[in-house]
Amino acid sequence: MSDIVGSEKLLREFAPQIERTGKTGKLWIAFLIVVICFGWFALYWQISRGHIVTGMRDNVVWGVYIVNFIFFMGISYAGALISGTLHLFHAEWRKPIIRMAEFITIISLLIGPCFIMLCVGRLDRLPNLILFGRIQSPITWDVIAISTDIIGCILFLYLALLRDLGKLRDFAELKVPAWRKKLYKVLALGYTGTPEQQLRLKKATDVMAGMVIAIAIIVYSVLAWIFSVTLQPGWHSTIFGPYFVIAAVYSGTGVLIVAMYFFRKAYHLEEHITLQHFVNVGVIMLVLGAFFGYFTFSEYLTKWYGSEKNDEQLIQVLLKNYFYLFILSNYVGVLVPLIVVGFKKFRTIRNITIAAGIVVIALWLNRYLIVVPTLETPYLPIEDARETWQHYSATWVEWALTAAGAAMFCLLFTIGSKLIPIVQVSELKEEPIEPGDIYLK
Amino acid sequence: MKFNPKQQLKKIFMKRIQSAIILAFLILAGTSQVYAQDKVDTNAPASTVLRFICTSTSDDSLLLQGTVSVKHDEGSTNLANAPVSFYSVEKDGDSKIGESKTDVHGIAFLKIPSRNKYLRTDQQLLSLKAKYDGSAKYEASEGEFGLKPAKLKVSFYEEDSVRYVKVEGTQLNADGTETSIGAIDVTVGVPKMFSILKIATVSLDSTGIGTAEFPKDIIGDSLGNLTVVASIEENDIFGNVKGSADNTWGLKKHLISPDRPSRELWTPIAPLWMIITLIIMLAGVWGHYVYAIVQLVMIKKSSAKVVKES
Repeated sequence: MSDIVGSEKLLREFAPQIERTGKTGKLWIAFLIVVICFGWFALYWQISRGHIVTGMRDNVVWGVYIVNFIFFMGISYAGALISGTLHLFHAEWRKPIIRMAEFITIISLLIGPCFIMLCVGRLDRLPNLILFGRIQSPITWDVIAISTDIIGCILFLYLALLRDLGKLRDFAELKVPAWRKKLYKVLALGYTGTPEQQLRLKKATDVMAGMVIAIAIIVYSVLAWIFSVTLQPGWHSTIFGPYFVIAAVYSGTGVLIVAMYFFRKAYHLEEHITLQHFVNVGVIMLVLGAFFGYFTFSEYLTKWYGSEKNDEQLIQVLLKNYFYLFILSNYVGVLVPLIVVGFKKFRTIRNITIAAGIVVIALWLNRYLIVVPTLETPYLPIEDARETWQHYSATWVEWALTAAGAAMFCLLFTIGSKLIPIVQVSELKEEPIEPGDIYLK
Repeated sequence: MKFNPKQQLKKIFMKRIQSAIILAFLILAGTSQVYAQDKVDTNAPASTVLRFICTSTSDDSLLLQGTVSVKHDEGSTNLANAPVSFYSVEKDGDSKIGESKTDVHGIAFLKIPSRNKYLRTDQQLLSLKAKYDGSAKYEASEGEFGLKPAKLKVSFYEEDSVRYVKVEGTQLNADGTETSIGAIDVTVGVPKMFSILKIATVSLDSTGIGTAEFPKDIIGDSLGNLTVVASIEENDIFGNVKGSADNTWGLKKHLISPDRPSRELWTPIAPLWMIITLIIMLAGVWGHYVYAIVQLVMIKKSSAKVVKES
């Protein structure tokens, strides 16, 4: 069995990030906790006073909560798709960034569904979804799909972590509390890297990599079908499934690049995460951006050309009331990454990160433009609806809870990086060198 | 510390880009429509509306209904548990009939006999009033209604295999006598889940009687039972008048039609193809999960073996 080349050196390099938290790190965590606490206060406010404190009314019954739900679920599927695909294709360059993609998947999957809960007026009736769920309902499909996806992604992440857990357990120089050592020992399942263990781990990881890709596509399509099976202008579309999947992976790639940038800076990973990594992920983002642009154009062109009364009204609302958001979401969000990554001279780490940031904002707005304007232009107007019912504007409660969700995402990401090296230690710069090593087969 | 002009420039450039992005986002976010919730002076009592209607029913009664609602910027909300007093408005002043509290839908009910002691106006109308006295939180409100008590009697008959519904209308005079209601249209309908399904309009003749053919395709309950309601609504003299009767002329309703397959999108049991697809998908996915878990268990077992051997 081959000795792991340089693993001790790598662990020594990454040990400080899991051993201690600096002053800036503590301040960052404190800031996130403050934002989350404010979110809890907003939640108390909403529960004690009812949904009247939100901007949601009889016409626009979904607002930024659903937008956040779709957004977080989207980036989670992107993480699964990126990590699963790169694993299956044995892309060597993936190794420093794959852990981040996996973290993004799990953390978003835990946060996304919470926003659905915030939408529910009668939380006490939530168990009815399980107790009296009907298979014909897309909501039931979503419950089944998301729960299956969470379990699958946790399993995939665990498989990916197993080698590192084994190394952390065996690394004597690691100065962490005894409980964490014990935790590493328990979670490592006695993995020592024997040929049999390697083979079993490879089989399981390959199977789960394929599964997370398949599930990610199915789950996000199910989410899209919740909209497309509903007779609402702008939603009842046959291409919503693939459109949502592409949009999800596109936004997730943006989040991954932003995460790469910040972790590279915070943990000084310049040696491991290089410009080439940004360019490689940027190229994936470029391709997805082109597909996203194509789907968006196709979606709006057919609606505009068809001149169906309600679709026409919707497009008018989009171009009149939401003009700037529409341009930012569907033009800037597509063209900027295409230009930045497409032209070699613009390809710098900073430029790609800025483009990725724009993609993230644009795709959040894209979901907002899918949800809100449609509900503002229903097929059947509600009789005697007040002006404030017909238009939606999120209140401070909704923004506070949105900020809390984003803060929770960052906090869990930070905590995750304090427990496990943010870069995959066991495979980084290592290649099995002995003939008996299964990775040479 | 060594001064590096290139780095300094880089920092300034980065800060400018960050500021530009934040500014652009704020401008764009600011241009979207904002409909803030209007601030309300919470100390001032909220204004209320009392909607008062009276209905003459077929059991020689008058049903008084007062609905209290609170007005706010976004519409109105019905007020529960609010005491509503009902009065007869007479020349010498209001005479209190009774009092009742609003239910969860904000409606207070009171039933009084059609033949009553309350004085009528010169037009032979009973003038009634409902009043909510208000509280510290809600303003007082009231509503008035004038009507002449009346009665609609519904009956059915069959002639030459054709079924008819017959409506007979009478009005109650101040002296206690009853005379027929003439030249008035009465709506005949069948109560359904959300509203009354109109089946005919019957014009009462000078004798106060009108008939209409009864349709053959009205769905009743599982035994074909139907309730048929005749009503006059918001009439200047009679206000609201309602009368009803039951028959068994409805089509027998089947919860699940024997002609249709029972597994549909809307039936309690899902279509078979859906169940099979779901089972295949879940079995496929969970099968792989189990496989991965088994591999983990085997890894754990093999480690125990290695420890034992060593």
